[in-house]
Amino acid sequence: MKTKHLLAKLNALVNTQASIQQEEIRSIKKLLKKLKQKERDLRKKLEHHKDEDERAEIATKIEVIYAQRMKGVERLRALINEAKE
Amino acid sequence: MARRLLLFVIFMLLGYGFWLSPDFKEIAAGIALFLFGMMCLEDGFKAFTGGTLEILLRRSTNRLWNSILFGISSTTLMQSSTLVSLITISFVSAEMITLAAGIGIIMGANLGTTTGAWLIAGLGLRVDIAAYAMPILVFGVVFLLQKSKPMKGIGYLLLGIGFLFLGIHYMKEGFDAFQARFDLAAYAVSGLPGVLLFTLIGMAMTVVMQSSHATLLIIITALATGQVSYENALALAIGANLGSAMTTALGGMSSNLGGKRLAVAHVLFNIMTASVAILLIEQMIWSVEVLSRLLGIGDDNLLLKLALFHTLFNLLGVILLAPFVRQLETLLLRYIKPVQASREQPLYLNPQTLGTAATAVGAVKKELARLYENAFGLLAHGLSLRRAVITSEQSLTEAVKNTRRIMPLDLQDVYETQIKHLHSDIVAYISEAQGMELPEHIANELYTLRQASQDIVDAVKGMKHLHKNLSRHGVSTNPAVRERYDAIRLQLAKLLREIEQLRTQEPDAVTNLSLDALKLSLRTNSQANISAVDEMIRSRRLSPHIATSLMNDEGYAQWIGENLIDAAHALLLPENRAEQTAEMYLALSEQEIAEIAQDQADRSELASRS
Repeated sequence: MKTKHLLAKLNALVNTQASIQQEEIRSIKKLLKKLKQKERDLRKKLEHHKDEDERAEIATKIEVIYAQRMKGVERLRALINEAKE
Repeated sequence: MARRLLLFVIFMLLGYGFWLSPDFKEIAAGIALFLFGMMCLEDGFKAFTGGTLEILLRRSTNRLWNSILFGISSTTLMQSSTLVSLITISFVSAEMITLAAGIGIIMGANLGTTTGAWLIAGLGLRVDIAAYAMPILVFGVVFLLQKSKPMKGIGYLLLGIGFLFLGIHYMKEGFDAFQARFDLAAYAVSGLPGVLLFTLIGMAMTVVMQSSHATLLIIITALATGQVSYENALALAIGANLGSAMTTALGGMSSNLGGKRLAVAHVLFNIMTASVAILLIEQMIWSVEVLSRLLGIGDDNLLLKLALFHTLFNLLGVILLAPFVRQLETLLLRYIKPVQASREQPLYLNPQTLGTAATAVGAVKKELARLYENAFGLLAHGLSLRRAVITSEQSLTEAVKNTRRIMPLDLQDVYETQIKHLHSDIVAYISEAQGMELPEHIANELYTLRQASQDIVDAVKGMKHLHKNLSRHGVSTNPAVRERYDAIRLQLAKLLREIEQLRTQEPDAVTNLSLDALKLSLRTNSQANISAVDEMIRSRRLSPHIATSLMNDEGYAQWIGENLIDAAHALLLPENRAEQTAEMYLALSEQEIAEIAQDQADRSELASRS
């Protein structure tokens, strides 16, 4: 596993396209992590809010984040498959 | 005017010198070639940096010693403390590095510039440098004729080195011939008067030529041919240091506050270094003798001793000031204060921030943030809500409901003074920056920022239209009308609050993706408002006449909201390109947002039926 990782890094060093891809994969992973955390925080907030309008707004935000995460996961899969090829 | 007069005087003096002495012609030509070589080197490095230097600069300045090391290494490589100092001023002006970091780089640049003396003294005057210069120049021109930017960059670098070598050669020849006819050493002045006089001469030479390297070259060449005594040469070197601070000071004075503070720091540092060197000159000469013996420098090798002296007194300056950089920064921040800047004048869009692509983008982003702040105040006023209420945790529903009067607002006047002026400056600055050779992604980013500036202006113009009816019907006695206008005001107030919360969070905690939820809310609220108006027309609670006004105003509110969200998008753009691309892929398209809105509407209808 370590060798594979090192080889990937070496490939990224000499191959500009590969390094751009790796950078994008890292960024998407970072972004997905942020979104996941945000979703968790919003769900906690939803449990504590009683006001209907506020709850509706929070629910909208959760729905949007969920949709963004699905897009992110799809894009990540596509990039990882491309990198393997 | 003074500048033109000085130029005229210089031309006259040069003309007189050329007429008087052919050797002077050779020396002057040598200096000109040397200076031209330095300009070519600068162009060459600029072609290559394209972000690398700026990235390194930002990463290398988290600690003082990193900043000093960065200053030393970049100046040694580029052989130009002026270039490094001016780039540093750009960064401090754009607030991309701290003042303390900038001071560290300046100190390092001072030390790095001493390598030039070593190169000239150790190598430049010992070999037949012209023999190397000629082929280098030829290769340089060949590279320069290529289309590729890196190739042209290499061409400029080679030309720079070639002209530097040629300059040194002609100066050497010139001084050799000059020596036979005229002995300047007869005019040597010893003791403290000599030190002070030649320090001033060195400073004047550097200010005129705008290059301490060129001054050092003249000093070393003159010393090599015995045209100047060793002690006077040391004083000239001290003067060259002072002169380079004056050059940076001139660059910094036309900058903004950050640049001015750094320029003052540079001048103070060099004055302190020069004062210590002058006061302790005997001790320093003794130290040079001791170190020379240790380093194997011959007793009669005055050139290398001069280079060693140059390094020593700059090193002394760094050692003396380094422990007090924080205190110096505090003093500068305390005593060099901003003149109360008016909201419509730009703070960051000065020529220094155009120095590099990164500082240009940084300056525009900061100025755009100021434009947004101005617009925020205007929009809040337009909604008849205080800015403090919108940015607080107070209930906006209550604040809107409790509004007793719509605040009067001469929007056109405020727009002209606080928005249009700044917007025009931003657009002009971006146009100026686009004239530089920029990497594609930077050019695109500047375009996005210009568009964001236009979006802010459009939002304000939308408020101009909306406010006309708000002032007539915003606190209407007709509860239906009041209810609808309250809904419009609440919608925009919530949007302003959300965007403000996103802007004030830590960059790591927030992403542009949060704006998708705002787009969705804007859309669904707008649809709900239109539906509510329809229902009120059907139930005769609203006349068609007022209903159409409401629908128009709902359209303006939507327009304001869309423009604010688009502007926020540029303000929240991450700096990292990969992160920008990632966000672009994850952001929901208009169609996806429409689909979610439709799903929500369907669910809501189902819920209301059941």
